[in-house]
Amino acid sequence: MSGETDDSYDYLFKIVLVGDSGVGKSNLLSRFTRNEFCLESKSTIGVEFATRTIELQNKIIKAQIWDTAGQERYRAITSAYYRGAVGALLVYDVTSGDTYDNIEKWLSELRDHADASIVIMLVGNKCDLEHLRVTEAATAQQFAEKEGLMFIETSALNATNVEHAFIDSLGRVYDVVSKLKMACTPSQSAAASLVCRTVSTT
Amino acid sequence: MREAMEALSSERERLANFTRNALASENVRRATEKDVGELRERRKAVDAAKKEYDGVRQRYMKTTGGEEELRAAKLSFERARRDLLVALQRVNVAKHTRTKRCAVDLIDAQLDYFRRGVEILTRLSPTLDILRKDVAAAEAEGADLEAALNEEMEKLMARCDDEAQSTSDALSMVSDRAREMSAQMASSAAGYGSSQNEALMQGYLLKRSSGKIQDWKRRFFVLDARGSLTYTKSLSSNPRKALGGKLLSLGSMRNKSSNAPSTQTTGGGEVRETVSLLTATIKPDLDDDSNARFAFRIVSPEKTYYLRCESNAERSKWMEAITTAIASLLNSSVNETILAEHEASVNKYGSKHSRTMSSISSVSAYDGPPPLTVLGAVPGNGFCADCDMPEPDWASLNLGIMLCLQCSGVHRQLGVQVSKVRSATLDVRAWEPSVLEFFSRWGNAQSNARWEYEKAEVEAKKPNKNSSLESRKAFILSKYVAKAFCRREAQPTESQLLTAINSNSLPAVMDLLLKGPHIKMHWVMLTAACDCGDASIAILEALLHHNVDVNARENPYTEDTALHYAARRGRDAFAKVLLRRGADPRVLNGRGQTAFDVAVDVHGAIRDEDLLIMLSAAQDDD
Repeated sequence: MSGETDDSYDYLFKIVLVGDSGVGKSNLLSRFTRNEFCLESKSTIGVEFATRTIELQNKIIKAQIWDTAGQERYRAITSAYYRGAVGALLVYDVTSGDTYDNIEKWLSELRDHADASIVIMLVGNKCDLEHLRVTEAATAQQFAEKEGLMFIETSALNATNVEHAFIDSLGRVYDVVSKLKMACTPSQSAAASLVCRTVSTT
Repeated sequence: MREAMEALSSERERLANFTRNALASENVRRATEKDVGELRERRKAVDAAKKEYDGVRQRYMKTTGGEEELRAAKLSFERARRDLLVALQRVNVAKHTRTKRCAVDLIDAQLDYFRRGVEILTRLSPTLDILRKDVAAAEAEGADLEAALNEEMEKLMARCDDEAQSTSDALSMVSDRAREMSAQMASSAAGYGSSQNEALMQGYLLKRSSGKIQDWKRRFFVLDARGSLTYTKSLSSNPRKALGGKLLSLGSMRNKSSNAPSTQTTGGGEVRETVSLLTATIKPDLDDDSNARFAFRIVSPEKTYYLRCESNAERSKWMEAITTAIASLLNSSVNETILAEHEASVNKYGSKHSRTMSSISSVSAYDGPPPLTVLGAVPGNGFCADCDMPEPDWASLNLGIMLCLQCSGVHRQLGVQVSKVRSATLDVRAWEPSVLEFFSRWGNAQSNARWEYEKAEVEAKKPNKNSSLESRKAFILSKYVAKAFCRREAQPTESQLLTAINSNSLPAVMDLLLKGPHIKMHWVMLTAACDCGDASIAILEALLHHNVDVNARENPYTEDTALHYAARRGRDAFAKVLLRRGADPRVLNGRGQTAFDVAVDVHGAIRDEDLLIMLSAAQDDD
């Protein structure tokens, strides 16, 4: 309908951010979509969205990233949050053992509510705080392999690997989608996210 | 009586040999038998008149004319009934006197037995004179009663027939009957109040039988003060059955007596049915079917009753009474159960809610105090807006006023365009925060300042808490439909309304909506309401009750709906009000975006999780 360039894309992928409160989900999002970081950020209320369009293998991919508060699980919103998500960044804080311990709980919530083919990236954030580190990268790597997750350590503060975390996830999502060989036709339609969901479920 | 006296005196010698009881009962029975013979004749006359009356009425119901004939037949029937009553009265009085006389006779007999002297007889005669006077007095009293107690007569007759019918039951015979008769008379003497259950309404209706042959049968219906409607049928039909109306009962009995009456009978065998009113609705039937003139229906989940009256006025009286009974039943009995459920749901919701992130306007109807507390605190809301009944617990959502049960019933009849009635206690879902906001900024005082502007006229006509339904109806119709008491002013313009919205003044907006109910609401008005100050959600609530297409895509640039606009501006509470009022979350704007897409792309957040669920769910539906 509209010919505006910033609205055209080949794929719209919904990516969700999950993990305990305070691990830096919102800062990862702002770093990736706006290249911003805010030290004094507050807890997220409701759901925040941000989009960024990238090019992958000559396709325009619009990432619609959902960020919600991490304090609570088992909420009415849970299923709405995961519905249609093709990728998830499961974030913990390398300086907080509790946030790593809770990874398994988040993982089971993802598996309960999200699509089975969802691409999950385990993200150890705040890796700039090396002197406060509690969770070793190797431990997390091992866990990720066991669970079939991708793994990366990031720092939203100094932008280390943030780009990679998102783009690698999106790349894997794209692979999954194209492997399914469904013609997800270029569309400016707002229903594109739905199309992608349909693709991933089929 | 004189005969009886003579018989008594001639038998005095013999009587003296009997015991007191044997003597009394024998005499009473003999006398009663004679009276009953007379009664039987009267009854026959009544039956004949009744049969004729029934025949004429049958003809009258089938055709449109014949009122004259009907009236004549009715008159003769009434006359025959009155004759019967007189006879009954006489029997009763005679019985009283006879009993007394027996006692006197006994004394007499004893005296005679002991003294055997003429002086005894002379002493007896003054006593008899007094008794005669008593009889005359009682007869006069009976004549008075006859005029006053037509209703009672109906019952009396019914009972009398009842006794006359059950021939088989000849157990306690005379004394039993005498007792019952005197009880009946005692009750009639005491007046209407003593009839079994205070009946709000009673009388004969034609009921369509539920069998294959759907003919109309006359049944005696009683609607009593406890809101139960019951009817009785003749003895030959089904035994008593209760139609699931545990709250409903009724005391009335009726029997059809066309069979030969018998002297030695006794009471019993009433057959009554209860119409379950609690879950019922009532509907008038059209008069186009000539076989069903003046008909109406009582529809309940178990059964539908087809009933007919004999005139339109009678039908509306019955319907009104039953409607009121249903409403009060619902109000009293359902209150408790529903409130219990409400309580449970509040608790459930509350606990769920405490687990939920409470975002800025994650609103549920159950946060804060119960609706009635909030509503009652608004100026003027302590009394019904239309009749000043204290503590009203019904409301008109669009007028923003509180009403009593009776007035709310009238409002309901006006249609939702005029007044949208909800209960403050039962309709738990109606009381969204925006609705409460609207009510707390409006209320009966401000509303009546406008709807009852012409105070002099209002004072003459305004009903009070005891007024009849008719007078309420007349007042409410002229107040809200004819707008008879409003200040006469020119139709407002759209720009006036927009100015009022922008000035964030609910009273000004309400004023204009009252004067110009047909003013077309535009997208720009809804969006203006979204952007105004603290009264704005109340204003939006008020606007949405009027002539508005909530899904109109009127923004010239984006083709946004009001919902898109609210999402664009992150007005989550407004978006929820719009959704609740029929905004379709699937409508696409000029860019092919739903409101959800706009919230994601433009605003970048949905703070209200309920709203997110509502918007995003619609996303996946198509």
